[in-house]
Amino acid sequence: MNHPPHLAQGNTRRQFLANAGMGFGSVALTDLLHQEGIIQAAENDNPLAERSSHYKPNAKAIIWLFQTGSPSQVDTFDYKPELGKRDGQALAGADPKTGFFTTSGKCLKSPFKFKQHGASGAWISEIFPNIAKHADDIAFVYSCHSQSNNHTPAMLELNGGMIRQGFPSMGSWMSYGLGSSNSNLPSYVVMHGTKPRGGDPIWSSGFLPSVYQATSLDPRAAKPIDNLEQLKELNGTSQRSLLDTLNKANRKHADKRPFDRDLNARLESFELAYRMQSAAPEAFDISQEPEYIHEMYGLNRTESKDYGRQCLLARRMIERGVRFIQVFASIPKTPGGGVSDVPWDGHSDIRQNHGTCASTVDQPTAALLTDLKQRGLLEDTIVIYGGEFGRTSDSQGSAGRDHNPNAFTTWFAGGGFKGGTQYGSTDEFGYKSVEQRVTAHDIHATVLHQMGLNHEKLTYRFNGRDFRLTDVAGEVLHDILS
Amino acid sequence: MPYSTKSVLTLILVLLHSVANCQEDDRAGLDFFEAKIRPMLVKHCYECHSAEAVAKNNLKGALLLDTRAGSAKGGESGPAVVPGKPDESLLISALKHDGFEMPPAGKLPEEIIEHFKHWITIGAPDPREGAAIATAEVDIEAGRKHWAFQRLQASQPPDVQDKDWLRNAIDRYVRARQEEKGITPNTIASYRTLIRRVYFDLIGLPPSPDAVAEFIKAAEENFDTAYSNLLDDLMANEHFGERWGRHWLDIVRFAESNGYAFDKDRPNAWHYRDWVIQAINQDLPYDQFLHAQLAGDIKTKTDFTTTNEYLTARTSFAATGFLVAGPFTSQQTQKERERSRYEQLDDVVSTLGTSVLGLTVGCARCHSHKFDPLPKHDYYRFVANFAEVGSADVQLNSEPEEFLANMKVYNDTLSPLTAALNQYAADVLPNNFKPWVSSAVPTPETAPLSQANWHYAGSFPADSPQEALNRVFAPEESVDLQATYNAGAIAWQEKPDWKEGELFSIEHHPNSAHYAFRKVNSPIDQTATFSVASANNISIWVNQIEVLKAKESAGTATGQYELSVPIKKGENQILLKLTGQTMQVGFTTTLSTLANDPVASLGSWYQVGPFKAANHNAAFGTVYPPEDNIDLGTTYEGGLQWVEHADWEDGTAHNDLLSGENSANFLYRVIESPTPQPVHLSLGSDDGIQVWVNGRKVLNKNVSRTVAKADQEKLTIQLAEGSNAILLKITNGAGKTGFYFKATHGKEPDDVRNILVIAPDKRNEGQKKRLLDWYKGYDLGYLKLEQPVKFQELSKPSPANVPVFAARFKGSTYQFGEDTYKVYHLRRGNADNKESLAVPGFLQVLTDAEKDETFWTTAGNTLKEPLRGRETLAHWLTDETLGAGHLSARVLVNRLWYHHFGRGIVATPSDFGTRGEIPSHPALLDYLAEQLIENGWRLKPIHKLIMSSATYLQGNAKSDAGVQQDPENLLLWRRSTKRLEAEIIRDTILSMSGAIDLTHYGKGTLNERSNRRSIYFTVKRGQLIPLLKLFDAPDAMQGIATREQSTVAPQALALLNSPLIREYATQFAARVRATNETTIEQAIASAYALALSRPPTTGEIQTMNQFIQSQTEMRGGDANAQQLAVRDFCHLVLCMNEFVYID
Repeated sequence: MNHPPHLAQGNTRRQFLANAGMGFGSVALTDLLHQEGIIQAAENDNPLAERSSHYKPNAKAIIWLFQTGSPSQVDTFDYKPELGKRDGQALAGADPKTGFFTTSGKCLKSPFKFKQHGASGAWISEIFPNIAKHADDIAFVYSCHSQSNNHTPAMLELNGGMIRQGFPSMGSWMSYGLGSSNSNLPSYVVMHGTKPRGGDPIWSSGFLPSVYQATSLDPRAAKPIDNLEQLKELNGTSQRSLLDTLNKANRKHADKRPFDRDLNARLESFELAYRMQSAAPEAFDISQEPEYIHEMYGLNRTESKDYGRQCLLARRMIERGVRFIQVFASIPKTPGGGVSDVPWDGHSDIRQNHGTCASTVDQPTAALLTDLKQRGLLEDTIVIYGGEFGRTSDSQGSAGRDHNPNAFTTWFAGGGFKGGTQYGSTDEFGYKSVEQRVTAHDIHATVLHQMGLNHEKLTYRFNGRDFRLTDVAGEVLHDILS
Repeated sequence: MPYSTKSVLTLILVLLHSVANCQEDDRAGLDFFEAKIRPMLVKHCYECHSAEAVAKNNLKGALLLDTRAGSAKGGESGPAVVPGKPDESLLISALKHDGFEMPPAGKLPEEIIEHFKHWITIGAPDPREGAAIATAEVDIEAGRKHWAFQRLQASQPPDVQDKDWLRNAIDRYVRARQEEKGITPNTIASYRTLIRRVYFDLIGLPPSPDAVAEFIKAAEENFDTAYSNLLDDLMANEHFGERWGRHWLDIVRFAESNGYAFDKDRPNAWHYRDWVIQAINQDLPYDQFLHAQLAGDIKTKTDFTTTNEYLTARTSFAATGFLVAGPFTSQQTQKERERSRYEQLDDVVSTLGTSVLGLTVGCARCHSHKFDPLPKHDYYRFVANFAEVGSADVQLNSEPEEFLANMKVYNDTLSPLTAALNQYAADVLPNNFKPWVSSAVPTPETAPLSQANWHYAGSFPADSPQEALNRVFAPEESVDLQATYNAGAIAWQEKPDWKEGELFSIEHHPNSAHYAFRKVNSPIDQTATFSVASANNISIWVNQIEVLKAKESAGTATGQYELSVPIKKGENQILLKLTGQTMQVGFTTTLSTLANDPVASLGSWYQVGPFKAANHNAAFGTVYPPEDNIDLGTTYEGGLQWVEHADWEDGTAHNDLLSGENSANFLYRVIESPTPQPVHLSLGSDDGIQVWVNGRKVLNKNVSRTVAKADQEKLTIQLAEGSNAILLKITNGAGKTGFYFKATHGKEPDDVRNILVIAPDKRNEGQKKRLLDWYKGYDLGYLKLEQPVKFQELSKPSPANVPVFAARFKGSTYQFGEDTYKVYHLRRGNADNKESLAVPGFLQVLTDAEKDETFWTTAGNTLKEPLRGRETLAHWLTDETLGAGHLSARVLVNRLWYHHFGRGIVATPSDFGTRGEIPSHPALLDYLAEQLIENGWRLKPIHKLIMSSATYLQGNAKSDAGVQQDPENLLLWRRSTKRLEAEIIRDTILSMSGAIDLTHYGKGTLNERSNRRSIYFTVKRGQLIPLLKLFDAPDAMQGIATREQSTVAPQALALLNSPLIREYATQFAARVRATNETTIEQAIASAYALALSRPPTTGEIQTMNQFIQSQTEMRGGDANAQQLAVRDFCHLVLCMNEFVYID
């Protein structure tokens, strides 16, 4: 059992009392409780208070650019000339059950040209001219594989390690393990356009206390966070004066009940709410950014403006202390098989589908890397890029590719990852990962490690069992860390 | 069934000899092993030669074939597998029945034995490293020593010093522990505090100010009586079930949708929620409560005849909602289906384990439980109890008596009609049938032709008209449309304007010949009628066979020849040669088959309508008078009358002749037929269409269309000899309406045709019957009697079915072949890795060592009717002397305790295993469990017992000794403040608004603005009610025993800024100050009484008064400034800690 200190066993009521980020009540009260031995001097009951990690972290924040619907490895980063040579020929070892539908068993060459980039010489598809410029910042892992060939279970696995619903996602584990490093904004933010298939359970806090749940929002919406906007009838000073009177009443009530610290936590939660009303809109206000930044993130291009806004907001949130941001690629119109909740799902035409998706994400993704770098944030921020599985090397129909859980590429940049690294490999057709195979558990173990958490020690007891993000597996990929 | 642990351990010995060389384990070899060898080993050998067999004392010959090492080591007779050497491998000789005869059930097919030989020849590649997991490593006997697995220990409540404090036996257990530590508990809380505490505990609603006043008055007279009455009243209130039902729903992960990607709704799952509420209100004993949930479907009839039986059936099926409430992924690939089924079963036993037994049974899925004595073997046997459980919406007739009465009336009307029809069929029909059948042959096979354009080639010069006529020019040899003739002077020219039946002519020199050519395609071999007319000489070849050679003097080209020509399936070639003496040759042709031939003798259309309806479905479904009987002289409701339309043409789409939105039009006509014949109808309709022929309905199609056109519907009808009545019903939704009708010659269905070609004396009975059946459609007498029967059948009563989402034996949840409803022992929980079939069983550690499962089917022969399957399991679960009842009882009373105190005697209410918390008051827990059983497993007496204790009644004041010795209050020396749950917070806010709708039961809603209690929100896994989710309502993915209690800023944001909360505050304000006549002080007092069950203090009145004043001033310009300020005050009250934290 390795619970953070604030989650002492055996007192469920006290266990999760939460004040959402700030210290407690009056100094006098705390002193009183100390005198009476009700709290230990060293103990901090706030579940979102920033906590020390297991060891010195290499990164402080994570931005995970989730490519919903699953890009094809062989058309993006995993260059397979052999596949091109054998176009239309039988794919050795093809298993028609690999995908969601049935595939032809015949090799489908990539419709895109590949070139080597940077000093590291990484092969990158022509659809990513901007990301390609960052080849030497990126650690590519070519040998990822997942368990399910179905979007929702696979996304659950990539996010929470299990193909079933009901388990906490990595962001929730991160908040549980490290607390929050800011007091005015949530610690774990999910941004999406159309929600990815499977919806909220993908970023669920599962059995962890709901205080660790993601704040999910659609940045396109006029009000991306619920209830942030003050009522017309009760705003400004009238709201402030209500809070002052409320505090007075609550404090009086709490003073008579010194054992129940939730009462003070709740009192503080109103104060935090009050501050969030101005802090969150400020974070979302991209009009504060200069024009060249807007241009850099592609906000002036129709196809990239939504995803670009997500990327820019991600950077603004990192600057304001949000620890974990997950962006689910928001690509409204994807031809060739994709639909808005799984845009990269190029079942019928990879060229059309991936061409469109890439023109959406390439510029903003590259801009985010550039921007983080120039602000000195990249070294402390892990950027993860990838989908929930890969796609088949044989064709579905004439020009599409089906789901393929056996091979896909995920890449990492910043946050102590070794740029210019190429790790693991797939077979000569990119059909199955063969060397240094990597699971979601390995990715989770590695990212937790960079954040200073030992994945085997970060556990939570639920219904009698100590659960981990990495279940009973997971290896830290030291080879891709600097 | 205990088994010896030692013998097992000696058998699973040193299995770690390295055998197969890793280099030889090439991938192809391993693939071969997985594809051909492992499945055979699992299927035919593991039962007696595996760790599993060891666990079941079934190991034979000391041979283990479930590891590589075991196969190499072999058993008593030596190595079973010698890589590379099939001749030395005993496995092969045994399979060949050479020495040993394995498997004993019978020799395997030669092909499989060859696979084994090949496998050994290539080096026996085998990935099965190390030792197989044996299940018997769990020591059950040792496991029984854990406190929770021991039988209940009856004990005398301990003696205590401080007898004054005691109110009942519970207090003795509690006070004794306090006295050990020298802690003094609190005395009884104020009556005001108590009534609020008890109201929220029992019904989850605040007491009204009147109820508070009455209770205080009564308590001051006689507290014990007043308090006892209060508890009884509240437990008799139906809100009690709503409050406590929600606790159970948490534990059993109740939801009304599938979860996962598409989160499909379960619109009939709410019956389970209602069942739980009702069961709790009726104080259904807990053993029956479990029995109903686990096995309610097993002996329940669906073909009942009384309302009482219906209610019983609904209750019984609804209860099984427990089994089917779990998440379920409806989108599964083939590959995932079986694994998903095991996931679903795991969900059922995991939920059962945590909810009823407080055990994490699910942990034993992949390996024996690490901490609790639950072998993997037990797990799969436990799962097997549910092997045949699926889910379904069970349809139950809610009005059986009425239905049966209606059926009687219906049958009474129907039977004379049926009798008349039957009599006709017996007496008259055979006589009519005989002459028909004696001469009946299949109508000629016909099918429409598709004709390519004519091509023309000419002119071919000759020396004389005679030569032109007789000479064989090149096209007569064969036709190639690309060919040219006479050195390129003549080529085939396409003539798209040469149409069927039209005359066209060619100017020419009499000394010349001309050819016309076209291709004709036919789907079948058939005979076509070729009508030809020519003004000059004409010759015709069909497929190079001459069918006409006619010499004509100049004349008119009409109707000269009617040729019957054979047309073959596929392409046909038609060639014409024209010559003549005049300066022009001309001809006309029509090639037709019967299929294109309109049926003659069609009478005028008669039309009546539009008959109006509420919508298109109603128009389509309503039975209007013409459907029963046609009388062209009738005037229908609304003055509608039949109108003749002699000018309505067939074969044309009429989209401008009918009218009326959401309506029906009827079209009627008579067709005279000289003989009985099949007729093909091409029909079109905008929108729906129904067709009757001689009173028999032949088409019923409810569709929406934008326009009527040909061939939207195609069917064959039967015309009888004489006058045939054709009725069409065309229904329309919105926009225009129309129809299309064309009748051409048709043919009998293939099966009838096939019989007709058999000689009459060779036809069997079935064939004769089929012909008779077909003939009925030609017999007007029969059809006349059939019509009223069919018409009466339209009014057949339908049962008032209520669908209930429930467990159903082999319900339709999954289908992947024969293993769908079987449970196998799985290696490492992997559905692709099956071992032996699992037999239903219970958990050994909770079962008396002397008894096995069969004991509970008859309860040691005390039951008249034996229990079946899950019933037996339910019985075992609540058998406290020999089964698991001791644990079930402990878990349950602890849950009650948890909800009354905010902390269980066991602090982990769903984990009573070795990793759970040990009880703070073990003897008290057992005392309560025994009380539960003594009270016939009824819960209300236990609630009352707990709530009548001084322990429950005490206040929350500080005590120095308490603070020093027990700051966590484990010894219960004070009352802890509890925050209300999400639903209760919302319900309480709603009740402040005065708008709360306290209706009980029924289908739920997802509308957040609903005014009903929160338990009646539909629980949709992917769309939880935001306000409830915010305050920690569960997501229903797994059972939850103790809700988290988070306090986060978004909760405060919702309370401050949500327009809905402001609305409630506004209504609350209108309630406490309806008019300006109410003073601000009165409004404050009234709000405190409603929201906090107490009067405000002088200081509070002052503070709030000031607040209202300053808020009023802030809104100086607003005419409603003061009313808005009162709203602000009410809003503030809803945000107060005291409002949601209960002492």
